[in-house]
Amino acid sequence: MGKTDRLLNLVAALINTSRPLTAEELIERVPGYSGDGESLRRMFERDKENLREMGIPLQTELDETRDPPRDAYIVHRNEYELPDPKLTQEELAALHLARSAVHLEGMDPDDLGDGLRKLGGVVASDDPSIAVLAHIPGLGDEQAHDLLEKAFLAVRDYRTISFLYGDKERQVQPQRVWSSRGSWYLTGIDQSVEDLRHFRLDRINGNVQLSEPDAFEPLSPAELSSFRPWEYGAEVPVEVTVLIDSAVKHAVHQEFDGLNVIETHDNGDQVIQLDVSNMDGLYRFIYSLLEFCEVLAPVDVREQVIADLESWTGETN
Amino acid sequence: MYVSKSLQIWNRGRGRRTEMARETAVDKVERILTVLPWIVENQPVSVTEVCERFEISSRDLLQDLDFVFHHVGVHPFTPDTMTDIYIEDGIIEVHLGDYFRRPLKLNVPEALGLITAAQALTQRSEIDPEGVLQRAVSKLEAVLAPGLQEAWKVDLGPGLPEVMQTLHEAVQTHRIVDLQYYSHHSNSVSERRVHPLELMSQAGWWYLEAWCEQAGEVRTFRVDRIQTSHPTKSHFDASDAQYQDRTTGVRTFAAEERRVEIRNARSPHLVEALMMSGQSTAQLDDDVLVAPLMSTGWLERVMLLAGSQVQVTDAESGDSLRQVGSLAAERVLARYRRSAARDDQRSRV
Repeated sequence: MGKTDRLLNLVAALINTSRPLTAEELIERVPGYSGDGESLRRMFERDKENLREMGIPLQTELDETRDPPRDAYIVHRNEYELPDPKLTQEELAALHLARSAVHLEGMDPDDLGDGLRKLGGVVASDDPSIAVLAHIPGLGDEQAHDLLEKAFLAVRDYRTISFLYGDKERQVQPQRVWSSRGSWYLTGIDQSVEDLRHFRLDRINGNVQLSEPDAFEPLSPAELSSFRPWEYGAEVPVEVTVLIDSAVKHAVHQEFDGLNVIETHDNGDQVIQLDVSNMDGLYRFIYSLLEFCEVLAPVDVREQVIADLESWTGETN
Repeated sequence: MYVSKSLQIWNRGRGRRTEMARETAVDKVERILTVLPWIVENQPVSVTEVCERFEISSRDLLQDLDFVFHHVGVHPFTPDTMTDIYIEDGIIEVHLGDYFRRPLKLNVPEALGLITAAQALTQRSEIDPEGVLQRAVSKLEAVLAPGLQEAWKVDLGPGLPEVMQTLHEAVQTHRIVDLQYYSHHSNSVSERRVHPLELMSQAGWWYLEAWCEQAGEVRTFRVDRIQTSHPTKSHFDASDAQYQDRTTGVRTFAAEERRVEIRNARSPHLVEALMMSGQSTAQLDDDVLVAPLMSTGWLERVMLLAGSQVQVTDAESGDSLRQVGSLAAERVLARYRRSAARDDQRSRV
């Protein structure tokens, strides 16, 4: 009996049991274990390590029916078995093409092949419908790739992620991880300021920790894309009315769903009301519209904007 | 148990296989745990199909099956818990106990890699016009990462949809295309007739590699600078020698970017956010933001947000770009003054 069959039979035994089995039980049930106490023990420990390397979710549970209680092992089917995604041949072929077309730096191409095989194998397409090549920069070295994996786990499982950014420790509820123009970013609610922030993954200095899954309720994709920067702040809320020109109003409503329009002029201009608790966020909104919008009220906010603009031209009131 | 003739014949040839020595037991176990459930679910299947689908040699496959047949089962190893494998005329049938029914779940690198690759391409409907890949990604996410939804995104680069579509088709069909191309270097628009060879994304920008008739050589064009693209009725023969003289793979184009440096912004994270929302990448080194210059309108917004104490310079020449901010501020101020004047008039009436 060799190692391959011992490992296979060990997996079969761990899946095919209704209760966790102790090391002694497994050694007895699985052929191929030989030797005396200590070497047998070492052999079993190595096998356990090998199973974990393969990604087999080997659980250790305490068997309390024994005196003294001892460790027992099981592989739960729901943790082991890949649910069938029911991919069509065409979809599998498209994934195969994607695998050859896209290269993510730091990623082992064999992993993609292994993943595809688990999903039903590699189906070649006669019709190369994807005729592009893409190289996505990673985060540099292997250690950094590990950060990308952690970020993936964090957004996937709603785990809070904490890390050192600059010299500051951050704790973030991640909402989105994205790659754009050669860099990877994480967007999430920074718990120290209770505000949405963007972080560049390659500027994370380490100390990366993940919480348990389901640590927070994620914003919906719609909420995230219509994120209103002026609403995320600790300032006393102020109702601010802003006039937006008809030329830009469609773009504004596309970016920010459900804005409160309180008046529409004959020429199509609109007056909207914003609940502002973050003045920087208001600046971000109005300055992104340049001269196509105007703060109407309250007067002190309007004056503040005018003073800010005058500081550019060297004038004072 | 019944062992087919082919398996027996194959068994006799066993001693000749030697190159398997480097494969570890773990590799072999992983392979068996992946292939076996698929055979069980799809049987009867041919040896050829399994080999093609799982990218393995028939020798490896037959060896694996023989191995499982002889050695795998569960306690108490009565016949019903053992494995039966039949191979006849190249067709496989397997009877397994109640284990190895499904393959093992994808691990994090496998799931991350596949979702990233597929998701990146679905961002451009020109590449996936029928939405096949999009459906595949949805199904993958449903089983691998149900919480992911919109939370993992890769943007391969900007480019006009109609231009991307024309180029994608032209690369596939070897069609000659007329382009209007804006050259950043000479700050001018030129008309070019090109033979598109490859469309590729590199570090978040799309590039077209094409034989340029005007230049008489293979050139690289940034897709977001192609203003129009019209397919001609002519095709080229991609096997011609003139197209072979090109380098493929990783390259850097960063040098051609015009960049600005931003110092002393009042709220660097907001400036950074605005930069990112306008397809640009900011880079923060200590207190200096370095970003490619997108357009004047973009820079105006960034500067007003950064505040009048900000210092913005051309990264190469060091020239101050302050006037861009001042002029924008004046335009916005003019608007406030006009409305104030109107209000004044109204109150006097």
